[in-house]
Amino acid sequence: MKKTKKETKHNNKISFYICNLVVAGGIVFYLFYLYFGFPIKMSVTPCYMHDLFHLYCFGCGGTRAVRALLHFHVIDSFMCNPLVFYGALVFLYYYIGEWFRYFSHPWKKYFRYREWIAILSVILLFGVFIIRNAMLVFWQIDYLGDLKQFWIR
Amino acid sequence: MDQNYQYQEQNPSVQQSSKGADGLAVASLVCGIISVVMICCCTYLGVILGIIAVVMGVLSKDEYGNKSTMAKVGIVLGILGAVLSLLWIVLTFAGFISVPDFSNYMG
Repeated sequence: MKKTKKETKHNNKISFYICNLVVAGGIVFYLFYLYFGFPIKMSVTPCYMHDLFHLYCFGCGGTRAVRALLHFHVIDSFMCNPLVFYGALVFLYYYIGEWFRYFSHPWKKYFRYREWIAILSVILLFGVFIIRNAMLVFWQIDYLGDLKQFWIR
Repeated sequence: MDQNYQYQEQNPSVQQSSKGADGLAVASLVCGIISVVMICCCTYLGVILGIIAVVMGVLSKDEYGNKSTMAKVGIVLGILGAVLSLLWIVLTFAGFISVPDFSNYMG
């Protein structure tokens, strides 16, 4: 369906407001974390990958990565779970782009959607899972320290 | 000259319609990735986001009516996330029913 310039501008406005809502929600969450600690108990079931197979799942280290990012420990966050840090970077990239698009600044062309960003996220998702578990099983390297007792003698 | 002007006028709107379809495909991929990550951490969210990823992937179409690779990957990840999360939930309920002290194993 063909979109007019008016519709595109309207869509840009909506995505701009949504991004700002997300940032506002993030600031509220950060203030909540400062006063009350980490508010969400994420796990409602046991981690079966951890308990049955003694392997790291796709999200292992995610909570620690978020905590490290909230303390601005970027390297620690990347080491715990690179997807959290990568997701924050990508959001920042699009958020800056939304500001340029909203004000029709010429720099908006540098912050467009790029396919490789999405492809890299899928590669990171499976790559981290494979590399972390391969290091654990074949070389007994466990830098997160959760499964040492099962694999390292 | 008039034909060129008409072609250039039509081109931007055609590009914009393909951007709209890409938006659904990208959203499907993002939801699929998050649902896979949430398999163990927050299984209910894994199921919900997995279903959303599949629905958005199915609804997305490019300007020729085909599904882009991103939409297909989003659908696959959504199915994987939703199915594994459901399996985890079923295992937990089975554990509560069959093992008396199962709540001691909960994280």
